Amino acid sequence: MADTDRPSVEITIDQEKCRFSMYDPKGCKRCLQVCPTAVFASRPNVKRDFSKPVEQRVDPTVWVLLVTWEDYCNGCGACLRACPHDALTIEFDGVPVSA
Amino acid sequence: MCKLCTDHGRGETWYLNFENYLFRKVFPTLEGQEAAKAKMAGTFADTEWRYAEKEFVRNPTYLRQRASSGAGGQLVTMEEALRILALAEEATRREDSLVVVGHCPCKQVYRGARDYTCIGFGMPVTMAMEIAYGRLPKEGLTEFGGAEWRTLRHGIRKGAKVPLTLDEAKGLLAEWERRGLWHLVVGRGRLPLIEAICNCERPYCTWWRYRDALGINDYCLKGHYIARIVPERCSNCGACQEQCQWGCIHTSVWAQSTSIDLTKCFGCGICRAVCPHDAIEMAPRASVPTARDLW
Repeated sequence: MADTDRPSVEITIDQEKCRFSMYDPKGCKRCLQVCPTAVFASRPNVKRDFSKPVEQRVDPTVWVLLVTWEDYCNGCGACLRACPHDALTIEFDGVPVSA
Repeated sequence: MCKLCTDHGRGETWYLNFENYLFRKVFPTLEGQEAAKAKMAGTFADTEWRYAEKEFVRNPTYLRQRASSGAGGQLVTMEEALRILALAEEATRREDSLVVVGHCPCKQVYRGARDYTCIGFGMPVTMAMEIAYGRLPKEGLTEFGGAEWRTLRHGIRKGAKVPLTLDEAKGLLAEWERRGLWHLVVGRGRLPLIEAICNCERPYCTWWRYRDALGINDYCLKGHYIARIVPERCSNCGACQEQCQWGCIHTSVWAQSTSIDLTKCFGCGICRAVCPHDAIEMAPRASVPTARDLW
């Protein structure tokens, strides 16, 4: 974003702890659902291959979690509170945000 | 006239020019049609990829290049959206293509949930479905292995793209507007060919994000209309301010006044849809001196 007075933000997802899943009910996507400014994004883990015939195609049901728009983070901490596995850390200019 | 009208309107508002709905008019040669079809498989396959990956969605060079080669969008009022769908329906009759509704990829990528608010029409979406699924909705199209669709709502729950009639569209558009979704008419890389109406909102709309984060306006131009309050009917209840996606409505309890900042209004019409007193009207942007060239 254009606002240069804002501190720079770093959001890290601890992949060991994160149990993100778009479709598996045992998995979780709470940070994605709760973020009010859409910092997180998700996409399939493989690209659909349309060169294969239709019968052989597998629709991707495994999606991965990415941090795409971290500069939209305003430090509300909703994702930190929502994460059941404590997999997120947010730092503004090195200062961590606590849940 | 906005840039898209100048470039693609040929004397009319670009999305009211019927030729812009005809694939065979925009691509008159067979090679052009084949090339467009080949390109379509690629862009259809990895929309979510490009919306989630920084190298695409946060890349101004890539986005500006796509805009200059035929991608762009503009907000429209509900009346305009219905006119667009009527033109699209006529085009689908001429070219044997479809008007369909499916899930909004932006809301899936940015919130992990399906909201079935994406209306696509014409040869591009029809060909894309043939490429992707090998068959079309009439024969029971499903996505992710769901069941055969019977009704519009049933089909939508199972994840299909289902054909949409103009009457159904009217109901859906009104319902969406009341819950704060704007209507964005888009060309997805093949302008002047018009392909879809997105019904989306902040913060999920990727094309709004291009404008807000990267300053690339081409994807989310302000509409040809602008909202104006009718003072005699306004009760200062603030319902419009609550739903305005652009932060351009101000109310003062003390002054008992509500005003719309016409330099910021995008003309989406959501305020009009939620006003309980019918106190907002949509006026042509050209009739407002400050806003006439603010796109």
